[in-house]
Amino acid sequence: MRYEFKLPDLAEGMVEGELVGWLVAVGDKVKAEQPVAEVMTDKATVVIPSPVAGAILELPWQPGDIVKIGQALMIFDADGAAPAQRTHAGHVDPNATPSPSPSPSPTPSPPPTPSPTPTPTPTSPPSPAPVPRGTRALAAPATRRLARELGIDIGHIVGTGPGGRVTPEDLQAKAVPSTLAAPAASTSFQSPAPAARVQVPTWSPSARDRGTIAESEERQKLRGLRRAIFETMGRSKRTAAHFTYVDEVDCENLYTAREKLAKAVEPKGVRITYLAFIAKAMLCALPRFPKMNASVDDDKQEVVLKKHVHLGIAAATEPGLVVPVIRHADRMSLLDLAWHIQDLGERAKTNKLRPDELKGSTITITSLGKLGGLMATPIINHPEVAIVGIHAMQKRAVVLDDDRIVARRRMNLSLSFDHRLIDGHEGAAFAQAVKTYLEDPELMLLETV
Amino acid sequence: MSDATLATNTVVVGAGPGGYVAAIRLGQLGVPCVLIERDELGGTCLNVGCIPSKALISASKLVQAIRHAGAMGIDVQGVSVDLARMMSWKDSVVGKLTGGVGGLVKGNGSKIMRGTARFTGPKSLEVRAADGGITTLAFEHAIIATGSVPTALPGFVFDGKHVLGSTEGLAFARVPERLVVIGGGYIGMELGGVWQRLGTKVTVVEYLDQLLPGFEPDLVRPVAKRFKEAGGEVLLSTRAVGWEPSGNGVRVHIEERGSGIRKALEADHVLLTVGRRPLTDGLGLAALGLETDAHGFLVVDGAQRTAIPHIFAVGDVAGQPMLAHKASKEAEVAAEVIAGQPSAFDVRAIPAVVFTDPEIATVGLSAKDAKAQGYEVKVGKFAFAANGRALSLNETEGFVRIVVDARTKALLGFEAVGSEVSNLVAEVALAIEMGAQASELGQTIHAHPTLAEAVMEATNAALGHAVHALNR
Repeated sequence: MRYEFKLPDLAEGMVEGELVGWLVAVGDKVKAEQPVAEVMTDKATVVIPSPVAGAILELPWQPGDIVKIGQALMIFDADGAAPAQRTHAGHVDPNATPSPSPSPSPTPSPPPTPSPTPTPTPTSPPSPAPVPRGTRALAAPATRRLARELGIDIGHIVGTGPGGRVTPEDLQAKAVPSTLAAPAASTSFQSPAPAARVQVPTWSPSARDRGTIAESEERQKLRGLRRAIFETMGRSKRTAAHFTYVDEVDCENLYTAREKLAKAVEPKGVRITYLAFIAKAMLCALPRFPKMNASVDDDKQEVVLKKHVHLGIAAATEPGLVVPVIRHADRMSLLDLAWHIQDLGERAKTNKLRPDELKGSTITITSLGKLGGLMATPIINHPEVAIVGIHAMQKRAVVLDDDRIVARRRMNLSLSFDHRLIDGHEGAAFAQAVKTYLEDPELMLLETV
Repeated sequence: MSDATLATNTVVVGAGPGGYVAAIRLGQLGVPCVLIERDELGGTCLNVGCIPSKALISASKLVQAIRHAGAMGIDVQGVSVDLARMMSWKDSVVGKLTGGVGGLVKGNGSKIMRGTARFTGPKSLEVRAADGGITTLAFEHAIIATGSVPTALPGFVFDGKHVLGSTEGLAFARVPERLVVIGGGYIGMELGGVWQRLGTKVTVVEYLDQLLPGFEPDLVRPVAKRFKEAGGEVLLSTRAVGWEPSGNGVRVHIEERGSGIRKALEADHVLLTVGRRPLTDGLGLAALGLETDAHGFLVVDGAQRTAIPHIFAVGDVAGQPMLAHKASKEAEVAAEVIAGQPSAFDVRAIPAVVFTDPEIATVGLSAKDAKAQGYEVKVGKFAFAANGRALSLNETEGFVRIVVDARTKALLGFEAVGSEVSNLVAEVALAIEMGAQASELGQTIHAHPTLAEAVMEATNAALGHAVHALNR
């Protein structure tokens, strides 16, 4: 029987997804749970399993299309009875404000390059390349002409207009600026005769007129993950009152501890990283600072103190920043944490994270890894209220109490808090608590899991 | 008699709707141009094709309307047709248009030269005038727009008396009593219809198993039905074998292809409308080093260039479909390319109209063609029987069909049969060229009551929500 598979909501707050690609074709027979499509939500790319067994009747979307939750993603001829359609997972908050409707964003398209009317060429151009006849490109005549003016094969452009219609903006984004299009350089440049007693420089700038170098820019649509990052980062910065506290941590004991533990768990195939230790230190400190593990309900003007700790670990991936979540991280041993960090990190890099692994964090750690630097001002993972930034561990000259200068492994932490909720001294105290655990990792043994 | 040598940038050979448009556009773009024509300006279309045939179609349909006005309570007695005056009115229509063409070409700065052109080298041709004078022209570019001529059939040679082509078929001195039309394509059906409405008993002999081959059977059905109801005879799958004079007329021998049964038809004339072939005879293509393809066409690319980059071809001589508006578009492209613009014949669709009774119009892909090209289609159909304007015109025959790409919802095609559907095709052509979504056509308000509402309804039917029809 005919079964319309409607796009379910794959992630918290998701309203739509961008079709990345089909893994099946019309006419294919598929089994239930067989992967059929890749859809990029505002959090990650998700492989969608088939909800039924049957044959694919229609794939009405093209890669790049935005599909809204509840729209028919694909149509099956399902074997047997079709399952009830679930279009919305999780609870619906009746008081939730409607998500801001996507603004129509009237992209002020740059006017088409006014090509100067060419003087009629009185002689035939040398053997021009054959021009194809007719087109199947979904584009208006003026757009097709613009493509030719820009030297773009419109047949290869995936349009962003309705049904994949190619728009002038799509072409402008693809256009390769041509230096040939710039006006020819003026060749006669004559410096005025030098006045008497004025020293004439013996060196002059190279004759090449930089005016012939075309200015160029490229426009790209905000799509998928980038649009999601765009919105969440902007919202965080607009709502939270960020303040960042930076302190330096002595890591000599941490270094020794990690070396020892890393060797101990090596047979298990788990890498214990500094990140795992820092996560653990944070989790050890957190029970004494419940306001750090909270969120702000801006609409209701309420603080939501979370009794569970879901730790977000910001990870850089090819498409952009994602924040996989270790659920109930406060109930985990250091080894568990290390395993989860390793697992999520690997799957983030290969886009294999499930949508439920990308939502629900209550506090977040961000690490720039090898690019750690000295300090940063991390943006809070909205609607959380605290984020811990980690920087590079490096040997620094340290002046001891007895005025000796020694080389020691040191690392900076940058912690950002929402000052609306967390006062400066509270943030600093939390940072100091984390620092204490890191400078003396054995203290973490005192905390129960 | 004068021999002279001239030089220009571009020569255009043939002043039909391809050539004269090229000359006008070249003039607009400031490219020096000479337009060469051996007959009348305007070519087949204006002189012996589209325009005079449409004049006679309108006149004969009016005669028919008057005779059948009884349904509306109008009784007209003693309708008579003065064929000579009808013909001179037709000629005046032609004259106005051809005169206008000359004015437009010259007004845009292009020259017109009368005579027959023949290429003598890659960048030279000679023009032989009626008085025998030869002018040699040196050029940088040439646009060949020589059009096409009616095709004959084995056993049938155009003789101007018994076996006639479309040109003579537009210029009878008296209404024939009986006419055998060989070839049931659009020319045969349009011309056959003219004379049928003016009182001729018309028999159409068609080799294939359908009138108007190439159009979907359900588009043709209302045309065939009305033609037969008016006394016309249609012989499908039938071959015309030969003919002989018979009294003042002809006896045409035909053979049913399946059974091989032969029959003879008596008629005043044979009207031979089995097709047209591209015309390059005597053009001196060899001097250019240019060859035609197996069907006699000059093969061109999207810039209208032939295999020789400075030689362009447009219109009937440059390939199917042989339609005036396709020629004009190609001519604009060729002129703009010569002027250095990045033009191309990159159209998504070419409309086609048949002025039978009722009319047929199409643009873009039929559902069958679309499927053959790999599209998954949705089709919507709306019958004129449910259209208020069609009812009030007493013209309820026919329908509009819209083909939509099921995946992208883009409009792919339009087919219609019915009264005045020739005037419905333009909006869909625009929509297809714009890459419009079906909903964009369906959501546009169409004035009520008009036949165009059927286009909107058919489009919405394809999307599953026509208002004035049940959606199944």
